[in-house]
Amino acid sequence: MKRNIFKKFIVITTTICLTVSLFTGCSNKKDDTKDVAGKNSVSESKSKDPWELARTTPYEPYPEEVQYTIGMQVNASVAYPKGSSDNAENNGYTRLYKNKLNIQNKNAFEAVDGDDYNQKVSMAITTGKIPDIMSVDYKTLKELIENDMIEDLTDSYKNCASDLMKKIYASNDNKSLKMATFDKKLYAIPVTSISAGQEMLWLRGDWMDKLNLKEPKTIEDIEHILQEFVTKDPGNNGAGKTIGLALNPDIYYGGYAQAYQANNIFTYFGACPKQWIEKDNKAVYGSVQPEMKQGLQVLSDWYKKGLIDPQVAIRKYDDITALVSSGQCGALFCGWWAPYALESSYTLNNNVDWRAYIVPAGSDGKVTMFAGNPNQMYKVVRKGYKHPEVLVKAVNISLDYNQGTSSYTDTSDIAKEYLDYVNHAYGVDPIGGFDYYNAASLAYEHISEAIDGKRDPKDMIMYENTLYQSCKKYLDAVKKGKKADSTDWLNYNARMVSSKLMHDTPVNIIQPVFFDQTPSMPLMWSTLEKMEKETMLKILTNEKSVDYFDTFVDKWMKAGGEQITKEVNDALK
Amino acid sequence: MHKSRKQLYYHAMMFPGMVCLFIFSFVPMFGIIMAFQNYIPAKGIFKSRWVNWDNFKFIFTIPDSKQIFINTIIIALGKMILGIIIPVSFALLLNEIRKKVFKKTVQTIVYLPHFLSWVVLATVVQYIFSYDGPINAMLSSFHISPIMFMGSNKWFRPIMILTESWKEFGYGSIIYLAALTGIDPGLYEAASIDGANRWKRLIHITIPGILPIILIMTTMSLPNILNAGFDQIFNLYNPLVYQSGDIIDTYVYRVGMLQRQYSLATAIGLIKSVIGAILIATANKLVTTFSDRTMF
Amino acid sequence: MQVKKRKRIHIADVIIYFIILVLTLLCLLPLLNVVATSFSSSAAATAGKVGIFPVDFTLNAYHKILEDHQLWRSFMISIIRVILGTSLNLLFVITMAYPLSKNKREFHAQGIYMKFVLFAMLFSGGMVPLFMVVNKLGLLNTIWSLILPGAVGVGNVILLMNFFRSVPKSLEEAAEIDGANPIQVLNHVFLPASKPCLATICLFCIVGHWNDYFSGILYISKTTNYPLQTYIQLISAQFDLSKVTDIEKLKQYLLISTRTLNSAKIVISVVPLLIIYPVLQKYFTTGLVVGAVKE
Repeated sequence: MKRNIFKKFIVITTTICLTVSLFTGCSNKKDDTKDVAGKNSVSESKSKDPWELARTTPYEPYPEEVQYTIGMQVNASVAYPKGSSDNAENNGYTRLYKNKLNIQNKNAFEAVDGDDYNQKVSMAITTGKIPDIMSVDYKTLKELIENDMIEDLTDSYKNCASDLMKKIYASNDNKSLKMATFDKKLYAIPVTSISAGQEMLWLRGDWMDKLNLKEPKTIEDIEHILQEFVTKDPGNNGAGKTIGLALNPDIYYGGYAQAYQANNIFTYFGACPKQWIEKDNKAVYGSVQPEMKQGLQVLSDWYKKGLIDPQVAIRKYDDITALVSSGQCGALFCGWWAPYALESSYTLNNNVDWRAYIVPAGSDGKVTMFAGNPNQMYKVVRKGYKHPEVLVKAVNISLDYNQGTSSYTDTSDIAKEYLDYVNHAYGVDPIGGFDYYNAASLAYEHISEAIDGKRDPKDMIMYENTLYQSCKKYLDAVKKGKKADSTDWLNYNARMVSSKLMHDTPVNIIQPVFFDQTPSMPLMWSTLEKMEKETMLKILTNEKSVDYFDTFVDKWMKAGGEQITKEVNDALK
Repeated sequence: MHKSRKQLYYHAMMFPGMVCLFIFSFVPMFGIIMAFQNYIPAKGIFKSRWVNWDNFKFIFTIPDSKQIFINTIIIALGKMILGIIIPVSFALLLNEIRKKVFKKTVQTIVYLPHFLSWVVLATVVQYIFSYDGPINAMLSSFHISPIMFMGSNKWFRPIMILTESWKEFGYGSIIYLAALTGIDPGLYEAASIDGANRWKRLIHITIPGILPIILIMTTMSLPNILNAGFDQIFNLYNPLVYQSGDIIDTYVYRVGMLQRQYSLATAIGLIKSVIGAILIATANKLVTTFSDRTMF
Repeated sequence: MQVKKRKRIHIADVIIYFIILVLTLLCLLPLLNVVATSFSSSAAATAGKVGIFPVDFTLNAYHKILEDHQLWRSFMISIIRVILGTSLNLLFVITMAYPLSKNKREFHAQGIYMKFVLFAMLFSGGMVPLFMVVNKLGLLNTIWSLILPGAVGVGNVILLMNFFRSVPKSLEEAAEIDGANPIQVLNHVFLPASKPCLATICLFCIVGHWNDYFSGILYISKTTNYPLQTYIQLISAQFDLSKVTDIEKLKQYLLISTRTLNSAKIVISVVPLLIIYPVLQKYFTTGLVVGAVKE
């Protein structure tokens, strides 16, 4: 047996090699773009050239199939309806695009949203072969423009953008378009961000009732409630086991209504941590302004009094969620969408009753929030692609069916199938759309009107309709005295309770002035950020006094902060 | 067989592997020039701007570069040392066991943590060292007040070193177990006839038997002197322990978050390679001077 | 062959067993936690209530996985990759380690080859140029892109080379006198004598191929062609929450970050490794013994 190791090995290897070459043969690259359409574009010359018509109008389909390659972002496990032979290039989405516009995608690459996708993009750029359409971040967008690798979309947008698309951009004062415009030329179709809305304090209402606590208004009220939660142990966790306010140690401020931060405590004193804001006609970095100290004082006092998790420094995001879900923690700041993070606590405990408060309000009775980056990503078209308007036209379709009402008016099989795909989250939409800036508020308006019988449930976008059904199921269950399904509980609390609060509560909004990068940032910023995170966590955990903040600002300025501030101001001129 | 024909055979055997190395290792080495550029993907390697030694200067001029290098070396060195001692000792202990089923089961179990990623293990480690974890429970029974291990600059590095060794020792011991089977049983027989006890057999037969492999494994681990283990630190550190736990790789990662820093990463890689090469050459020299063995 | 032992229980034995048992338990705990989590309800897992026993036992996670066809497809791709990749690895390791194990008198070019090999081990151009090479060769999105760039494992070559050197010279000489050429000598003398080391290297290669997710991300453009670990990475991708500025994305993250499902995937991906090691252990008992007895 021993002498044959080598021989066996060769045999195995050869066999496998053969098998695999068969196997990979079919998956081999076939990414040459066949631009069938381009060749024939001159041939048709009647009164109205159909190619010209397709090129210049929002909805006119192409006379012949137009292909485009795409760098596709996928986000999770991609599934198709059971038993179908659909794939990334032939599915409910692509068939709708094909049907409406006669366009067909070929995937140049697919990768998970985020680092992996950016990696693929940058490799594609390196080799000089970028797909016809892809999504990039702001940094890459600028790099592509600088090196003349993408198409100017000004005309395509002018000719082909639907009214709905324009309306959606207008919902955030066209800030999205402005960011994608360079030298008066529009280089991308920006994917908008939805406003996160105000940050809310979420408290366990069942605990408050048990302890006879009234709703908080001021910082003192909040402190009192935290004190009662921690000392009286309303959740029966055992003495000393209940923690007060949940905070994310990595960064406990500066996000846009993210979970486990405490922005409201800072904005109450006029600070805007982590944002570039305008102050005395100059852009300044919010985290190093003196207003920060008061907020830090409050939080570090709370830590000293045991009102913030003593182990806050070593918690990770999932750990905090675990504390909240298991009922060890009954207080956190988060946006209207908090129920998504709180669903498990409801599943585990029927009596959980989370209540949201927009506190602490300033002297004008309002809480102050800062607005986020208007855009998430930028969809761009490769320089030299013959039909750059394909992107705009395809986005039109996506918006019509998701943000418009086409999904109700169009009763064709293709549209039905498309709906099925959207509702079951099958496959991945190669193009996709984006939403109104105030989408969450709008959703509340529509759903609540429908529940009150004032609106036809079909007069709202598809996603809202799904939420409306779920909210109704929740109300039915409550009426019957049954425990509502956790998904329905989630949707009702997020869409009808906290969204209502967000919708009804006036708020001061500060617009940060700068979301870009300056030349020194790539190398210096991480040092400054490290310094900031380290200092802030040390102040919070009382390892350094609040006065240390001044030393930090000094060090921050010297380590490059001053220069970057100057660059930001230069960039804004 | 004729001497020169034998040479021909040897060359022929080297050939396929060398071709593969040439294509996938040597050709891509032209990319090292990126370390001297401000590489921008859209411009490519041939058109990006030359910045000479700027990337290297940057590495040594950031305010905390000294701290970061010290952290990296301490953690990496600790892991290297324990990464030899524990697997070797474990293999020796296991070698003393004669119950085959027990031995195999143990081997298989201890090798498993290697396959759990740090994302998963971080949760476990964090629990073990938390206020309500077993370690603090043990301390409190001795009336020692709880320690926040993962938030302490004194404890962070030892914990990183220990937990990494815990994760990897089983996997690391495989090679020594393989080496132990290579020791001629005749030697043991002769020794027991001479009346050598267990300890003597260990010192005079077993350890010398696997010493070559220990030496080679140690030497090969030397280039890791600047690799302190990104995944582990990244999943376990927090801003409080930046001072003792921020390493080169986590730092570069955070720089890269703002913009992919291919040039910086290449420059760091080059530094690591050069230091690794120096260390390996030195170790080889030492081994050849003090013993009659050649490692390479 | 074995040293005769007295029946009396040695105190040393007790201590050895004790230490080994403690270490083994320490290694078992995290694994039990993962297994327990995969069988627990999602809410209990999120709330961090799962220790080493499942809470609210359920098979939900496994049901979901069984329905995921892509997971099984990726599983198969990984298996093919492991078989093919490991075979190629072993082929290169053996053919390179053997001539390199000769001293400079026996193989004149040994020194130069060794320098090249060491240089290749220490220096690297990084990800970008390697990607460009793989791209130019037209290997992108094929299984070869996962196998060829790492086909020569230099570390393993050096390891095996050192094992070969410990094979007694007399065996080689005896074979040569019988008229064997170097390949026959390698095949009949060195390989059988190095079985434990070959088994170890084989294991290293299998594990390396099975666990590698990054080359999948880099070289494979279609998610349907992802190997298992890359696919698992895809479905359990960790978002950096501080970077997520959009609510819809955050919600998505919160909905898919089901610990139970991820744990089940880890369990599925570890099972093959649990089987392969005991199989290879078989070769750990024979070794030089065979050769030495012959001598």
